[in-house]
Amino acid sequence: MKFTIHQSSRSGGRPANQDRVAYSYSRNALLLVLADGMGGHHHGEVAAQLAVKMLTGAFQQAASPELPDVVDFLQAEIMKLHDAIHQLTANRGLEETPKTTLVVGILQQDKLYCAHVGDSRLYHFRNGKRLFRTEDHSIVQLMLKQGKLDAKAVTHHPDRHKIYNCLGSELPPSIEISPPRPLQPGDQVLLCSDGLWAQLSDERMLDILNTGLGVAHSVPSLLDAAERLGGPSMDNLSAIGVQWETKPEQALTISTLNMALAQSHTILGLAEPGETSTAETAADLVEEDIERAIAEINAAIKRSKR
Amino acid sequence: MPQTRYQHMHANQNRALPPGYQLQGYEIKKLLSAGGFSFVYIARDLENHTTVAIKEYLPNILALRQEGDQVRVPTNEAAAGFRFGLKCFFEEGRALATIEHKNIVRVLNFFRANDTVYMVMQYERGKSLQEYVLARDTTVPEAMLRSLFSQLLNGLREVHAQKLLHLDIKPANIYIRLDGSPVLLDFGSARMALNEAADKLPPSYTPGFAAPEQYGTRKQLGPWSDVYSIGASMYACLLQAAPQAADQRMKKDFLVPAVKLGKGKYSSNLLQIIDSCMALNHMHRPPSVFALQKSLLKAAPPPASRNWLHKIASLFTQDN
Repeated sequence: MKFTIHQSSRSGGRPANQDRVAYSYSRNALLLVLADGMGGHHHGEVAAQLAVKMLTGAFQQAASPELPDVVDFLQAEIMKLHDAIHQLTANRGLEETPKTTLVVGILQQDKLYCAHVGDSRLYHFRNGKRLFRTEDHSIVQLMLKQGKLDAKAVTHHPDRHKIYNCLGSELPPSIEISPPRPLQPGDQVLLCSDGLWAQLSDERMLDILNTGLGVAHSVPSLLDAAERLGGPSMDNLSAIGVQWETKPEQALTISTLNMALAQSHTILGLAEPGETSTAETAADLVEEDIERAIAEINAAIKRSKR
Repeated sequence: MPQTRYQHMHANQNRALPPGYQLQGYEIKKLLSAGGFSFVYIARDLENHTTVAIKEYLPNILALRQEGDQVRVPTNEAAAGFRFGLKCFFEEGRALATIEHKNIVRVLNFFRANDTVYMVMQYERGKSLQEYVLARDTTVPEAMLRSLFSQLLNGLREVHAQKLLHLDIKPANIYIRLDGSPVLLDFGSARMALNEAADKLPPSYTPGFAAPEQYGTRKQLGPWSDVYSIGASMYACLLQAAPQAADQRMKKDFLVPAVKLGKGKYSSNLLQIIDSCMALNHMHRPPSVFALQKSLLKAAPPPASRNWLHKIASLFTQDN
């Protein structure tokens, strides 16, 4: 399995970043997770953080080296996540349950699987064309489907960011799992939060993605473009871009060919430096790992000193 | 031998901690060296009243410390790289912590401070093989070379047994203690064999001593890569300078074979060993560190200067 990947998350004009991104890969499978902690709700970033942590954790356990049943995995783990958010609310005595959107992509055996809850999106592009895009669980999307709105009105509708489906609400989430899609070499998959897609039309996205410079260049460019258009009150914005089986191989291409069967790597996106609230939670991710590594090393030092 | 040849590829432009700085139970005395990924300080262990060497993880291209003592990571991408590097640093610490060998630098403690991590090592008195070679008017005697390197290979075997490659063996990293025994230092370039995460960091190596497979894709790395560096280090003792870099040799090999360069100085047996270690094709190098060690120990020193050599040799055999 070979791919090139880049993820990035920015706070935009907001004091805190409630978006979270992460990816994890084993020898035969790649997981992408993007969660947008809900603005207006307290601790939105707590729910988003839990989402990326739990899903990458579950993936590491299950993908050895591929997921036996991707759809089962998505359904079961996302439900567990919803329950865990409620559990965490009770444990910490929070006044309100934190909420988050979620979009998950899994690339395995040349197929793209996708699950989403809310209005964070997954796009599938090939040869400069959009093949697929998730449908937002938003009020305007629903109205559009019911013929109560036309496509033009949607982009400027005052309620375009209102969603009716998320994780952490009182009702269990409705998890939309899209049928698996065949992947071809050169295909691009993009996950993004509404902060990004609200500013960029599909055409604009395609222009930026098809410069041929690779996702390490195009993903930051997408965020730059959205930020310029979004102005000072810009929402948090995040994206994960993957190019499948990139040819010719670029310096940043990841090949999983030499990975052990039970091995996996997880890369959790970090919030920007200088944001105290989110920087702390982001540092939490590695804190325990660092402490554990240091404890292990000191234990080994003591052991070998005997 | 020009000093610059021995420096790392990326000089560290970060600010070092100042002398007198109190770092947990240690007091910084002075900066010992600055590599691309770390600083090494001489420090005082305030509890045990001993001198230690402390290595501070601070990758030049990923983290910044322009003032004060806190380390700042400039961008998201750098943060990911910083943590990858940190993993490598932990791996180095983990591997070294499990190695208890008199020819391998000893790790004493590992701790966290200033938003980065520190590795405390035993401080060895003596001088580096580089200093030793440069200070001499004549080449290092054969018996000493054989003794030194076969002891060092004992340590290297232990390193490889831990599935670790040193990848930066050179005279500057081989320390000779006051009793004449060698100790292998600076595992800053060490990589766990078969570790993918390690490849995320730009490689660090020293031209002249790095094996050809350390350039480019680095897919062929193995114990044989350290064998090349051992050969190059022995060659440097003969030449009193660093040999031609392997990447240059692959384009046009100007390296004078040791059998030619060292004729009359060392036995042809030793010179052949050096040349075989420095074979560009790793398949032509000694098949294992053990085999190399055996061949170094096998041949007797040339009879002409036996008495004189015997004295020096005895210096290295005592107190082992």
